[in-house]
Amino acid sequence: MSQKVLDALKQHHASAIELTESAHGDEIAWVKRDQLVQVATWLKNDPAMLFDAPVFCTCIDRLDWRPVGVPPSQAWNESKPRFEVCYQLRSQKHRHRVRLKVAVPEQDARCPSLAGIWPAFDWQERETFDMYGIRFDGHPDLRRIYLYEEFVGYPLRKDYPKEKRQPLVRRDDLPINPIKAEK
Amino acid sequence: MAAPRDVTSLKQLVLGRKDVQDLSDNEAELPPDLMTVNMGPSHPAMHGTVRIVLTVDGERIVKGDVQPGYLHRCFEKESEYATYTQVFPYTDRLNYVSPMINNVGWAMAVEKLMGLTQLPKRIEYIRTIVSEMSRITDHLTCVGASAMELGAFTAFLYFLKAREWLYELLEKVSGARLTHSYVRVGGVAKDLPENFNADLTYWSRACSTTTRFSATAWPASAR
Amino acid sequence: MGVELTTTRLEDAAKWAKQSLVERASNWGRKFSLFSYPFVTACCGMEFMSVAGPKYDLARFGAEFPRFSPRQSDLLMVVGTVTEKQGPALKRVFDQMAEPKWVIAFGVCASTGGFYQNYSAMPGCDQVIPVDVYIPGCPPRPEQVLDALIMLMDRIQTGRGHSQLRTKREQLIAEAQQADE
Repeated sequence: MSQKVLDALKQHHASAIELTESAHGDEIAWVKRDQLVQVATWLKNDPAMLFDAPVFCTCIDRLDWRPVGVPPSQAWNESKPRFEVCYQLRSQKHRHRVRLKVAVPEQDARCPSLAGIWPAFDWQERETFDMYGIRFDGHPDLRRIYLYEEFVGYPLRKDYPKEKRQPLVRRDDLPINPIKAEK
Repeated sequence: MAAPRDVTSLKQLVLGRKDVQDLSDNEAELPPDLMTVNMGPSHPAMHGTVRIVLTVDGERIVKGDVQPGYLHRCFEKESEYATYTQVFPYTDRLNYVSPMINNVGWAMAVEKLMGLTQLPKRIEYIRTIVSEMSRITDHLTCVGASAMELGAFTAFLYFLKAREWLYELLEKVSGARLTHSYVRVGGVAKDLPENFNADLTYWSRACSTTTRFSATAWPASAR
Repeated sequence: MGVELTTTRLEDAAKWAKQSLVERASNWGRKFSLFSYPFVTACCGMEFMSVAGPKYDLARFGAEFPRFSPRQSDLLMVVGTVTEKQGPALKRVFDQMAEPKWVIAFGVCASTGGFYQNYSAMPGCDQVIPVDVYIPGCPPRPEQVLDALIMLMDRIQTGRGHSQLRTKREQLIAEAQQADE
């Protein structure tokens, strides 16, 4: 539907775009991490693009992603980057959408922040940081949003167990008080 | 009456006032410090739970630091351990005031990924009708609660009365008053009950009469 | 010390619950004038609104008046999911309430955590505060809530709420100490 967006991206920023694909009616462009801000600014300001409405910012953790039916070349292995930070943008004037994906490796989990360009990404990037641990360079106020400051770890990563609680407070007379047990 | 220099610059910086002359006599006399107030996680006006650290100048809010997360129930993480159909109860609790709409949203997302675009017309109609009913209960709750916060408690009670009728109808359809989990991927859980058309026509007219009546009673109750 | 008040069972009430007329009258007054603090967090709040609404009327039990300050209320209704982040706030609210105070865990999320078994939802608000009546249901039907309220009122009348027992226990311990001296 927004194939022309991908074509324009490939035309103007050929060096920044690694790959473009179209799946289930969504257009996806893989952007190199260091040129993300450049591409995003262009997408916002160019009169043919005019992406003024940010939709979401999230991350996909591909750790051990080897589903049945996917050939081994496409499945994940340790050499591939673990995280994919996704930004979905929409243009209210031209009514087209695009998704920018940035491949982020685990050891260097940083990504440039787009909060300066679209302020709505401020909280969304905080959520991505809280859940996945991706640090956004240039973010005005990067701190946890859903969880408390004392929480250790990043829960939505695939290697964080779902039921690992880190309680802040418990009754003193509970038969098993995990806080007291740890101390 | 001139306020001290540093206070004026603070007000210029933060409050946007241009000059000391802008301050009325009252304001020039009152203590100029901004106050930090905590609208804590449990607050009656919140109808839910969020923490806002407000910096106020009198009644005017200068800065608000909203801190959500007090109802983080880990839907995404739980969904990773559930089948597609098992996610529907989680979607109910996303916007719990209008649960059907969230169900329909999730069903449509999964259908899009599956490539299931052509659904039977009846399914589309049923989904739209129950979503609209849910949306009306949402508006009844929200507008009623807003009225209650302003002091119009009677309007809230009338709206709740109307909401009960819709809840009963939705209970006939799905089995539950609030968290329905009625929609499924590719359709709905079961067909509409018999006599639904007549029931819905009657009760929606009753709802509109009640809300219209309470709206005329509003000025009297909001004193 | 010989003062064991660990149970709230009706059968054991005979052992220690010789209530005087004053106590009976004051408990009667307490149970029919509950000032609730609805600690509303989530979906059960909608059903709480329904219970307080015109159809399932809470006013006929005298419990309609929500007091939005813990200092002024005696019934803490924990309505909806309590998260770990919310824990200290809940504890603080409970501590600010004056005795005698009662707690209703409204909904299965507040009772045991519901179907949320994850790193953020507390498995029940009784991890932080003592609860008198648990109401299962997701969300519970208003009739269930009224049933629980009547159950709580029974408890209040016979003096078996946790906070009443605590006060009674302390009182009996003090009396036993005095008798020793």
